[in-house]
Amino acid sequence: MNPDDMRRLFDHALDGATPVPASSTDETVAAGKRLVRRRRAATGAGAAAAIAALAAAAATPLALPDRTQSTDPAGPEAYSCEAYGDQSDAQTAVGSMYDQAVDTAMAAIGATLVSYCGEDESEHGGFYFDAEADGYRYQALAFFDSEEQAILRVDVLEPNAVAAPLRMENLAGCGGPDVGCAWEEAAVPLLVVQKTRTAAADDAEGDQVPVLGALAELEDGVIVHIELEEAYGTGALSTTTEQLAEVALAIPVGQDPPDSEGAGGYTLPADADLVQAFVDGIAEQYPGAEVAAASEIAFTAQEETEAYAEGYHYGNDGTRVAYADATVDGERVRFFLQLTPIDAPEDGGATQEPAEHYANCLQFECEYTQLDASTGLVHRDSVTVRPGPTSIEHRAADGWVVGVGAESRGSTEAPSIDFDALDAIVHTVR
Amino acid sequence: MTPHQEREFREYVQARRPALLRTAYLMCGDWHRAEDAVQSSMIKLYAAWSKTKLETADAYTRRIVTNAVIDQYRRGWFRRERSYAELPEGAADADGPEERLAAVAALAKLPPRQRATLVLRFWEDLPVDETARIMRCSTGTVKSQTARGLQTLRDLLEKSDLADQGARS
Repeated sequence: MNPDDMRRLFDHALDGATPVPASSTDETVAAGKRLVRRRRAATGAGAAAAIAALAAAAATPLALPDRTQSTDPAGPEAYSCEAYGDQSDAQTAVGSMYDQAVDTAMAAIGATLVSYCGEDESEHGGFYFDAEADGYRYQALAFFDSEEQAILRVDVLEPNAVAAPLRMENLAGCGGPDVGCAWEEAAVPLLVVQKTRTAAADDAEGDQVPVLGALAELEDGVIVHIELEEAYGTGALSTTTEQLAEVALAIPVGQDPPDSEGAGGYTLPADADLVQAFVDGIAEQYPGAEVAAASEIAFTAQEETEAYAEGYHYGNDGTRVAYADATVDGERVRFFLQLTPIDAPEDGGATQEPAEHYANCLQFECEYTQLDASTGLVHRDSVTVRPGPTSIEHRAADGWVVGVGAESRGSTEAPSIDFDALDAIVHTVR
Repeated sequence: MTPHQEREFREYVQARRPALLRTAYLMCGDWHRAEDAVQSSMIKLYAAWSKTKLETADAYTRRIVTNAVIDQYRRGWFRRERSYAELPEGAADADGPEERLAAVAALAKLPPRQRATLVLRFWEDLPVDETARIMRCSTGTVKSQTARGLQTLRDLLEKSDLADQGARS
């Protein structure tokens, strides 16, 4: 068979079929956002309080699991390349701090990093604490956008009963076939390694791939073990062990992660306070209106609302909605308060594009006004589904989008509520 | 991801998904599994999009789709594989059902990595080194997998022709 025969065979197998995707792009984007959120939850910042306790945790002389074996705690059946979030706040905070250090240090040697999970492994999306290894572990595909693609692995291991130098040599496999180890002169004990490893365990050919490593003993006997494994059979790595050592030494072992409160800058008030302000704002704008009691109002994810099922999407993923039924001058109105966290507050500031994106303006008629450098206001009108106005304030600086809208109860017409009143209610909630 | 990046991602998915579905189908022989592999790959692509250059997105996407298909075999999907996979709506047996069934049956006999290698080499028209990067193996392995796959198909199709001739005589 020649290439033409093969193409003919494939053509026959397809038989001119035009595949109709079962999933829409919207569904893909929504699922992608959920994945990003899960990863963020697993690597996001958290409290620093337990760090000291973590550092002082009893050391257990456990060897690292064999890298060729599954490290997925749920077993091979759970392999889905999805993040797992079984991490405490303190662990996620430390992991996030290490992520940032490795990203920066690898960028300095020209490496772009993307998520990677090997066969039978979960994808952690960054450093994660592995209780069995008693340390933080990390895996990523490095130099993704170049010819030299490689798997980067980093372990930050708590001390154990084994003397650090011996443990480092054991971890590196020094003394084994095709393993070259050398202790280097450095500010801390540093072992550099060059070896080969059999890649793709299910591949009968068992390709030998080059692996470079550096192990450093840092503060209080913590060991940083970094490895770069050539990924796609090009047979060589241009990165040096010295560069890997620099990455290892850049990991801020023993430091406290940044305080999330300080980094975030703004935290929304508690739900109960928001709801009370929402109800107060309605009453203030419409004196004499009958408004539901704040105690009867609760937030719910927009995906669980009837409106969402009807195709009325209040905002992006993560949007929560609270409803307050009211009677205004005899007209039955349902006010709603919608909250959406901004994924990356610095992305695009408060320009029109992100503001309309978060207000889901593709689905509605919107008018944008820039209030200041970090705040935008969207006046949104729903015409077809649940007609009515919504005032949505996009504050890039504090990372939240807050909107107040109104729809009629018992009528298909838009309620007699104007944007000025809604703007004022948003202001009260803020 | 910025709104601009999301718009780019949406455009990329809309443009590339049908071709990726065909590639995944040729690798696994089942439109439902192909859809599953492509969808899971697109979700991963979304998560990596902000770090992905548009010009390298195709290479990355092929790799994760290929991994997703091969991973399905590892997880036991292959045990539920149907030899006569369903066609998507609107498909027609333009060359007659016999050719299609023979092609599908022959491809189904190939081990997954061999099959994926042949699809990448001869359907996607990728060179050996690019295929090696996607399959995470050496160029030598790609060449040997290709040779074995072609030989297996040749044997299968010859047997099929002989059987047809026997049935007609």
